[in-house]
Amino acid sequence: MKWTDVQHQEDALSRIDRALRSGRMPHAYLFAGPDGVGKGMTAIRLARRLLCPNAADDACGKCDDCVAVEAGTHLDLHLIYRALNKLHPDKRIRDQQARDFSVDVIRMFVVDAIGHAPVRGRAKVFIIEKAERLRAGGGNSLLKTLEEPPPRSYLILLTQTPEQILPTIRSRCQTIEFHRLPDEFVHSRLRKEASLPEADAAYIVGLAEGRLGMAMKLAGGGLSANRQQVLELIERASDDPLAASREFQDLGKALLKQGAVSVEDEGSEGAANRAAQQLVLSMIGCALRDVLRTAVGQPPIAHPTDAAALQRIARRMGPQAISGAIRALATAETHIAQNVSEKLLFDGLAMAIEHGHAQIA
Amino acid sequence: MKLICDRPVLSEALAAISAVIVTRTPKPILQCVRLTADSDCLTLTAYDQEVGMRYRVTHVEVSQPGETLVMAERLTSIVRENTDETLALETSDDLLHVRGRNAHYQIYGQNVREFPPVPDFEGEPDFRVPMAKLVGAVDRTVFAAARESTRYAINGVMWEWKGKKLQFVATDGRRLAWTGFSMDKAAGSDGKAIVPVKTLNLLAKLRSEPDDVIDVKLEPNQLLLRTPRATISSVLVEGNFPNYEDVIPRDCTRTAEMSTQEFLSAVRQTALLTSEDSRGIRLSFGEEGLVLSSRVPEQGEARVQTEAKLKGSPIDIGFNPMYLLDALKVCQETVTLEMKEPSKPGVLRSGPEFLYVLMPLTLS
Repeated sequence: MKWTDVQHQEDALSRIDRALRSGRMPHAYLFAGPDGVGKGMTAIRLARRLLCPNAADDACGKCDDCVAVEAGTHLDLHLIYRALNKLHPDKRIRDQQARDFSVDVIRMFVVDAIGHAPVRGRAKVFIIEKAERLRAGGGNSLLKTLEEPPPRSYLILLTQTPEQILPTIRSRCQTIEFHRLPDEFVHSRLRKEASLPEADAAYIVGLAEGRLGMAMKLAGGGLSANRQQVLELIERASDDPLAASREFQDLGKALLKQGAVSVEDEGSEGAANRAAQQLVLSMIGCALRDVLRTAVGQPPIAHPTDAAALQRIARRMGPQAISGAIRALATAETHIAQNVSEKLLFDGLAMAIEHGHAQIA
Repeated sequence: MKLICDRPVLSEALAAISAVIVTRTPKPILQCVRLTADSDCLTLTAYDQEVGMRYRVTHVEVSQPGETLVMAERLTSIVRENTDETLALETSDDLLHVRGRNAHYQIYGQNVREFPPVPDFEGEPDFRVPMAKLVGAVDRTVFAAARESTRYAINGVMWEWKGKKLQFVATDGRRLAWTGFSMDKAAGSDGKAIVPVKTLNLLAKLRSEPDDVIDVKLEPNQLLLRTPRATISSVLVEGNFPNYEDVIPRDCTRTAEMSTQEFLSAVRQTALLTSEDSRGIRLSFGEEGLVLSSRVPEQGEARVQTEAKLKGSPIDIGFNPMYLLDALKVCQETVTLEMKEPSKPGVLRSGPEFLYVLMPLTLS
């Protein structure tokens, strides 16, 4: 583990680095940016620098503290996530559904814990994942602590939707933005660590849109068969949109089954279903993008080996239908976050592919 | 590591150290116990995020020093269920072998290096105090400590030692409990520390012999406590404890003396007619003694009379009965309640070693 492991986030890292060197570390950071671009990695590495007694430009990596941070056993490094309620001594709290951070989780694992001096004497670091889930109860119980934490304690909040963070929380943190990574970088890391065939790697890079974490997750999902399936379904949508819509919905369930999306990662079955539908939309979007490129005579990016199919679809749909379908897709993506019925969503999208204009609820 | 040890002694040690180990923790490694064998003894260590414990077992024959880290619950039940006089413990690679006469267990060990080291008690203690006295003092104060307050400094009991004087204070902003006594020998160096409630609960659970003495030493980040068998290291609560001496009223003009048992029983009876919304009970001290009354609107009223010797003029004052009961449970046979005005705090005293300041409630 090294401070420089996180790549292509120079702005973020150098701001943190400057704060560390000047000795004026803010006590609360908000790391904002898409999932899978290095927010969590940076947070852990920052924690390691704060906890290591020999830290200079980076933590030493050899002392007890560094070993414990890497092993996830350091007593002064606290990872805070919604499902911590499952570890609460009170059974009623354990049995609750953890959609948002509960007051009890924040009180027990943050407010109470932060009041104790660091066990190892240097600092205490709290990394709070999915900080947008700090809503009325949990969020408000954290405000006093965020405003005036005891000395030597640092809070790092992570979020991919900074606009959803309560304003009272945002104003108490220094925001550091993390950006999507260049496709070439995601591609090279994927080839190196997941040893995928070139065609599959290109497809996953196209789907991940600069999120390395997402790409790594998808690499194990066996998506190469699904790539052609999506192209076939888009072709089919021009003949029988409702049948294609049904198959898009089935594809979401299949992705869940084959492990491209897991209930464990998403926290609940509902969230996993939504993530699977989201992935289907991304796959359709990825395909439409290459269809559009083919239509205007550019080589495809994510489908380097499917040129023939792309040509067929491009000819059949025509430029107007393609751009209409892409617009419909954007609408569908906002609707998915608002829990619009899956059937309506995909029916509308399939019809848009057929006619070239959005017909969605 | 290779050693033979007395099974009942090891079983007792594991039971003691299990008190530290929590069943639910975000860091699964904290469910392990670390076994370290030196030339002549076996040390067990465990951590529960903030409190660490080292327990020494001397009834062992070590033929090869070493250490291992295993799930505490497994080892504890294996040692408990076995019926042999002695057990042989031996490590090979990642495995811990536990051998009895007719039984052989292999437990997978974990990486010892990843386990947080528990500090040892080194050098002279700051002071020494009989275990029973310390546990008594904790009992008389810990209930008044705040829980999960964002005023961090009051989430624990303050220990202060100065010369021969040792005192303990806890408050949650509405009440304050104080206890103190003289030690036989002056402390090596003066000091104070705010000790988390969790550590104190553990201390109360610790098994001890009647005349055990406990050594206490304050380190920059920890408080170390040593009993004849175990060493406990505890983190401290951050912050400055409020200046409690200013809170204790010195100018009370009325004093009532009561039998603790009778007063406690009267408070309990009166508290039956209180609710979330009308939590207070009224204490009316007069020439006939003490009349306690309470009322829940639209449900009923209570009136209980008990004996009290009042010095000073009659007074009506309201208190939260739960706060009164908490304190009365740890009082000696008689208590005195000192008051100035219905709007000023009352002071409950019992013997020279206990004092309790309690904010009054406004009576409607």
